Amino acid sequence: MSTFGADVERLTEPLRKTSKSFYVLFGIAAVFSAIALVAYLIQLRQGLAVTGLRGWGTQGGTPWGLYIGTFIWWVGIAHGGIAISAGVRLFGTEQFLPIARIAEILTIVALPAAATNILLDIGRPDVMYQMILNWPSTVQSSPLTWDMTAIFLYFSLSATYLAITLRRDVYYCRERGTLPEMLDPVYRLLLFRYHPSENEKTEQMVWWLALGVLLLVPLLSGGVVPWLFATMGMHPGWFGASHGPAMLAESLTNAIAVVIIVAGAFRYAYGWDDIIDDEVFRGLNTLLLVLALTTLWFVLQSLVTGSFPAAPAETTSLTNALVAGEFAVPFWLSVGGLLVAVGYLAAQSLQPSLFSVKASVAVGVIVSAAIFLKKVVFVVEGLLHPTREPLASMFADGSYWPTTVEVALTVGTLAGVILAFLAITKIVPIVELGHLDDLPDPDEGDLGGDGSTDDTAADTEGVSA
Amino acid sequence: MTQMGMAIDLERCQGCRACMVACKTENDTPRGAFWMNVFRHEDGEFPDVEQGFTPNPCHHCSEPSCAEVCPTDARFKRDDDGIVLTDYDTCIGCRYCEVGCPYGVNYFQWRESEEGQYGFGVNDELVEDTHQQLMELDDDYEGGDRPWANPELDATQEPRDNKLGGGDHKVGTMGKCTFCVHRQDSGDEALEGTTACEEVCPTNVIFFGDMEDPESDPRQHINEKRDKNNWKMLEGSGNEPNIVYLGDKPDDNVRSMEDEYKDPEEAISAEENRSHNPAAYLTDGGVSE
Repeated sequence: MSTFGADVERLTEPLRKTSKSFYVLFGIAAVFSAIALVAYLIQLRQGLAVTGLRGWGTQGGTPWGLYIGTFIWWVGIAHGGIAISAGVRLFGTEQFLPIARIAEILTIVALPAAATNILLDIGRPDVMYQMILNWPSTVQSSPLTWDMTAIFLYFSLSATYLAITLRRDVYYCRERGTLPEMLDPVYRLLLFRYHPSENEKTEQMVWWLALGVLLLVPLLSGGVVPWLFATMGMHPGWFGASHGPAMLAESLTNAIAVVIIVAGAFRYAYGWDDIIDDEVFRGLNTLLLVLALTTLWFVLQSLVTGSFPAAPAETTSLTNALVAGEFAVPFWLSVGGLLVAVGYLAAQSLQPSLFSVKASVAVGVIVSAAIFLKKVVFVVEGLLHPTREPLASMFADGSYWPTTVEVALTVGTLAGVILAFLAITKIVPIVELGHLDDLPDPDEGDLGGDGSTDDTAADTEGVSA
Repeated sequence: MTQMGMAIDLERCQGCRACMVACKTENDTPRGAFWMNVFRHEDGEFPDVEQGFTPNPCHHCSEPSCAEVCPTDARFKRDDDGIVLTDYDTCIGCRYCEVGCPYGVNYFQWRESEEGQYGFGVNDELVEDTHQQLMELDDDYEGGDRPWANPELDATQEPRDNKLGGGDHKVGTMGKCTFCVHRQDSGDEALEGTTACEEVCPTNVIFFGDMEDPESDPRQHINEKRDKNNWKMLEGSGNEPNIVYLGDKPDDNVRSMEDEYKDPEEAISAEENRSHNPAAYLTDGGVSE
């Protein structure tokens, strides 16, 4: 019981103490977010002509590019939350509990980042509400409407999951006075009508919510997102049934890679080597190994079928473009990155002395960057090799290169996510307290039974500082 | 049931592209947008090379995939005559219709219409002089900042009761061939049932009319040439296009005779260079100073 008090102190430390490097990182993220804001104003003012996007066909360009590729990338990252939470709640992989909330927050910030990329891509953000007004009819046929619907559902369920698990933790921390007083109105709002007796119900609800979100994962990343492209029978690079499972594998690979990066960052920043211990990273590495291999296996599928002499002419020309043509550099960088990652992950699994958290984080960065390139190339390849013969040969060849505005906005969404993440770590406890040995009985008046941290010690802030 | 469409007689097409120019003047489409586009292509190896021309307007499909994918119903098929139109007021500019069309006929409004028109937005002296002269010559012309504008395009069309025609639509929305919908809805018998491209064609390649009506121009022409080859572009795509081509179908091995179409950015810089070089005006009817 007394360790509980000490641990709550320690786990809520980010809420009371802020290091210099936090401010530096916050500042850098804020600068890049501001640059993105300026870039967006330029784009709003001058139209999408400031991007490298153009029409396919006579304009020899691609109408979708970096923004849409980044959109899919963020959707993939958003699965990090449920990958960890479902493990903890549904499959009893308790060792991941310390990073469960970090992963859930990742979901909550990644989904708006995905939606932002759609917003950046459209020409008339001012009439975007038309998607809602016309929802009843367009949901019957438009994959883009399906996407919006699935993302909205996913966000609602994930946010509910996060909110109800937070209520319990915030209650305990507040009772112990380990939360910053300045933010008390936020906590009171979060704890609206909270009573400790709801915890049992909460446990049941999060189980069902985890199940619900888990079921949405194949619908979103293995379904409506790939269907945006896979249903387009006119574009040889996109059409096909395998994009669903392939993209699901890529997205989950990316999700775990980013969870490793973020978990590593928190462990490093707060010296939580014992809380987010090596076993967490070893477990994630194994998961990443399996997923990265699956992703590579799908790449192999498309290369073999696409380069076989009997493949349709359009598919052959697209495969050539990937293997040795205009997409060869990003394509092989992406595949190479995944191969390097698989190499390390397999080695550290066979030879445990090769394991280190730093190397795992580095591999996470490589994998996520590789998947990013793969997503962007996927979007662009279908549009630079559009339609079928004889029309395909009549159009001149196209090309695409993103402009500074596009790059600034893409970097900006990443900076915005980091900014939001940093802000959230200063508002709510980012490690679920449930991983500690049994929480005190909520009916007990005295929570800790430890005089130094009872309710009256309101100014813990001063003590620990 | 009415379904407007075209018969395009490739045996007559000389590739002069007058239809492309007529479409641009009629619809005020900006730089780089070709609602009517004529492919110039070749096939074979020297000395057995064949040249061909294939006009490619919107095919106004019976099952338009562009309308299926639209997330706001802005792209829709008009029940009355089967013309596929864009509602510029509800279009969010996601460009999914362009992605979801196999024919490559959608053109996004990348910049403000004023900046997208040939000669405008670069302070070209020639353009400004012409504008000035136009105001002096034509008493009805009130000047304004849209001297290129075809006033007929301001009309609204059924069933949305807003402007569905014209290529000078607002920035950030999608446009494409409307089968000159402003003509079809004009109430003017001389204009109804015609399109600018059909009208201007010097060799009568294009026959516009109701594909469901055996008496219509396109159907009659197809009937007249029934012993010839007639085919539809990407007929296997499931879109059920309503443009019927007469004559030989281009081979799958055709090559485009253009490396690329002029990029709008290049058009702008060409115009800018021209305004610094008055002698160049001579080549296009301007006056050298």
